[in-house]
Amino acid sequence: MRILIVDDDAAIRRLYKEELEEEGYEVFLAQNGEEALRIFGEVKPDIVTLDIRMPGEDGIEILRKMKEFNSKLPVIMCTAYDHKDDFKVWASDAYIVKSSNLNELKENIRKCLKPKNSR
Amino acid sequence: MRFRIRTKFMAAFFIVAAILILNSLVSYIAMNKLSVSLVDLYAISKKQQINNDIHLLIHNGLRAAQNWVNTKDPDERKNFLKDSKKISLAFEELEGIISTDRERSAYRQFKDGYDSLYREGLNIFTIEDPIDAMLAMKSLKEKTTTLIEIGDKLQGIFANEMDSQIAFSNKTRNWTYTLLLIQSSVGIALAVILGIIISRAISRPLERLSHEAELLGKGESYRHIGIKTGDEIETLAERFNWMASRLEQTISNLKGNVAELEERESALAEAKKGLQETKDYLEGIVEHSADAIITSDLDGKITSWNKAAEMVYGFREEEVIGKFLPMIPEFLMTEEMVFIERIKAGDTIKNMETLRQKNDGTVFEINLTLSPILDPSGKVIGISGISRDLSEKKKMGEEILRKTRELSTLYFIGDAMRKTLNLNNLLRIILTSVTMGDGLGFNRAILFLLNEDGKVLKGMMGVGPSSHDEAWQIWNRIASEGKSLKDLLTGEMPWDEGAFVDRLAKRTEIPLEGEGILSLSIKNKRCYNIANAKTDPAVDPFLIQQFGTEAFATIPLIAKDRVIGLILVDNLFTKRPITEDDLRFLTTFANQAASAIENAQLFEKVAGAEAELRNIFDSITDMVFLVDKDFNIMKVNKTLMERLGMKTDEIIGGKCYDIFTCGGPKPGCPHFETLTTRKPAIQEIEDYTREGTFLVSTSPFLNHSGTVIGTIHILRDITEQRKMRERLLYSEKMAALGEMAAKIAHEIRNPLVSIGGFARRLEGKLRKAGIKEVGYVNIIVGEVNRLEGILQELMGFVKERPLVIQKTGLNKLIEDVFSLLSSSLRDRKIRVIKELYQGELEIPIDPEQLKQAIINIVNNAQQAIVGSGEIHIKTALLEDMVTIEISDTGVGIPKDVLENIFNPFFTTKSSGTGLGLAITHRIIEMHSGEIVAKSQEGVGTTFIIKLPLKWAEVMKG
Repeated sequence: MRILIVDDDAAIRRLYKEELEEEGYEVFLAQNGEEALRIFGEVKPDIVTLDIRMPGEDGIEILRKMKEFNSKLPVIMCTAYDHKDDFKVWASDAYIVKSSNLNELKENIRKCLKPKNSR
Repeated sequence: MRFRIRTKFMAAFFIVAAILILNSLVSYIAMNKLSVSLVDLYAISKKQQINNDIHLLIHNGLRAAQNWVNTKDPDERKNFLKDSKKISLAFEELEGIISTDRERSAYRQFKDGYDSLYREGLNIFTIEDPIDAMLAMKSLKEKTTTLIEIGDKLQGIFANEMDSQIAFSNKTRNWTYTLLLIQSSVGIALAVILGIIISRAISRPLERLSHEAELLGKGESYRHIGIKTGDEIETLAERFNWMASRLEQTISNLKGNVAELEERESALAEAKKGLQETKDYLEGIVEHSADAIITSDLDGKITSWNKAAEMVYGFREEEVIGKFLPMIPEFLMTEEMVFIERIKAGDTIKNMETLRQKNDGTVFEINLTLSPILDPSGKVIGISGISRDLSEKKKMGEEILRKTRELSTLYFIGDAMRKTLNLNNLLRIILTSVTMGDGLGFNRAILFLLNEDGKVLKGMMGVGPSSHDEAWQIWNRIASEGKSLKDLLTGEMPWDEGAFVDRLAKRTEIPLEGEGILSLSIKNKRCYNIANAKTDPAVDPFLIQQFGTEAFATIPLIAKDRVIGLILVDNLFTKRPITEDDLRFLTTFANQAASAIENAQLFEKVAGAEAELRNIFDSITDMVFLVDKDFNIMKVNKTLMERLGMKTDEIIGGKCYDIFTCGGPKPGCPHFETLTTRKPAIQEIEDYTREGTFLVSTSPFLNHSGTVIGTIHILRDITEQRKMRERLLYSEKMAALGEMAAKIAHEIRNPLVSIGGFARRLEGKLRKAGIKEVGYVNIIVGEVNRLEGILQELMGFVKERPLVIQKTGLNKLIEDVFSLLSSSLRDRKIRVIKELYQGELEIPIDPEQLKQAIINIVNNAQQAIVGSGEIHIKTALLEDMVTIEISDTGVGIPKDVLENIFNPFFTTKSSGTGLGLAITHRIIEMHSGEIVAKSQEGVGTTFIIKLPLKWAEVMKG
């Protein structure tokens, strides 16, 4: 399974990569919107996690573009900021607040990929 | 000789004896008859005597009644009743001894007649009115005369009986005399025969006997014959003596009876004479009265007409008897018909002044009293009228009396006028005085006042009846209630405001440009007496048409040489001409009235201006009050009283610093400031006792000479503005905080996630490698968790959660909160006292968030309690709000802290975010509720939450 992690924080990218690779996922990283869309086009990931607040294009914009390209692609919004009530994030498949404990993230990834497997 | 004598004596004796026996027999019969007749005579005379007594007593009773009418002495009534009692007894006695049917029938008539008269007589004592009483007395006397005649008839019957008895007695007596004469003659004859035979011894006594017999026969008094011959002659003489004395006694008895009878007859004649005199006296009174006394039947046909009536009206008695009231002028006929109807109904009309006409057609003024004439059963059978000519040269005495009356009336009215400053009341007093009988006595009066620019005469008020009927009713009511002018002026006036005449007056406006009579009266400042309005060219037909008046007078109201209006008067109903005297009196009165009106007008102007100022003062929605130099409150407006919830007298006179909690007089207070600088001062003042903020502005209050005598305070309650202002500040602060918090959260969270994430990885790896320093990493992971928790809470605060409102039982919710916290409360030895509203408190709230709000407060309370203590929770319903009160017995919160407790991140505790109470505050505000905290150090803190009961209120938030 290919996961694309989009986050402007390098330490977080590394943390996620290490943790998710241990879970058996193939992890690709992008640090901004441009990079994210490029890698998205190259590797065709099965799932994407998006930080919202980033320099340049923000997570919401990237989400929109990715969903335009492939509406069935699961995208998990993953942010330090609580946007739960923002209708724009409703387009995503899950929403989590970043935490040092990645159990919630992993759980959501499993959940998002599950229906795809059953299909 | 002796023998012969004896023989002859014997013979003579036998003859004499025989004759005597015969004579005695005859005498016995005669005496018997005579004595029977005497008994009868006695009985008759007794009846006559009783009958006479009755006559006398009736006469006495009548006199008692008359005396009562004259003197009203209550003893007379007693006399009357005493006499009546005696009469009843006499009648009873008489009834017991009357014998013949003829007597009985006459007696019955007499008795019945008396009984009815007795009732009528008794009735007289109840008649108050002297004229009525006199008339009733007259009727009683007439009837008594008839009764006496009946009594006389009975007496006649008795007299007849007496006569026949006396005749019978006389006959018997004559017969007895005859017998005795015969006896005497026989005696004489015997004496002659015996004288021849018996010589002197016999002849002398016989001579004597014969002489006495002769005397007796002549009816002269009889002397006892003393013959002691010891023989038959002596016996004869004695017998003769006995007989003579009996006879003489009988005769003397008879004479006595006759004398008694004569005496009674003369007494009766005396009584009759007295009765006649009384009757003549009464008739004399009527006949020679100076007042015209006229009676008529109910159709108005004259039944009697006294001499004075002839004099006053000019008609002679024989001309008018049986004619219809000739003295009533045609134009008063309607009124007269009303009077007749009233009299028929039993009313009396007293001392009414009206008009009558003479036989030559001249109309003049009279004073009239009309009263009904009643028959014994009380039915009205006629009308009696007593009238007095008023027109005929009023005597000087009357004139003086009238003047005195006028003066006292003027004085009295003037007094009443001075006592009122209310223009409307004053006008009523004036017009009532003008129209009342014991005032100026006009039928109607209308008062006009000039308007402000003096160009229009405006009708202000009118009084007077609207019709003849109403006039009569009102005047009669006033007369019957005995109301004087004084009563009317001080009590309820007889005229309703808004009555016909008043309405007429009020809608009349007359411009002064014209040459109408009213304008003239105003311009020339003089009275006009218009005797015939229809023909007078100065009278505007409009006036006649409007008021229906035919003759009237106008009197200008002049106050200090300035005409302020006029009074118009007329006598529409009585038609009494208005005299110069009337006008003079009215003018005097008008002068008084004018100055009173002017005063009242001035007063009304001042009062109006004051009321206007007062109105303005009270209408100001800011609180306004005046304080003198000594901090005494002198005047307050309505807004202030309402705001303070105090009454005027609780505020006025109080010190301003007692009423407003500004902490006493001290330099720096606005009042003080203004007093010293003489300049306005403005301050914002917090009043803790009334929980409000006030903008106080004070301005100097100057007297006429410009000295500052106090300050005018204007207080504007700016509590709401201030709250709004604070709320705005708060939300601005919150927005800034939120933004900052979000930024910080974002910036901090990323490194925290990295630190925490790698620490966890490190922790796992170290644990696997069995390196003991894994404990350090444990600490890092734990601290990062705590930091992330704080971040979470911070984000929770910054990010508002919308309310999910549902109907929730408040008491149940509170029970849930305390059961949730029960273990922690128990550990801290805190006792919870619940005082929950009795009944359902279903309110629209977000139960989860409200729970959180309460939990935050209770947590705060727990932390404030040192050792053990109590938490008191109370719910209540207050109009459309629900209150939740949570108190603790904790250490309390200092004032400077209390002001900040709802501010986020404000905390006095070493641990804690300072967000708990801020969140509570926000939750309550989102519910459109209110939360306040009160605290006293060392005693405890109370939080009071108010929540609206209605959805609509909540949704506003």
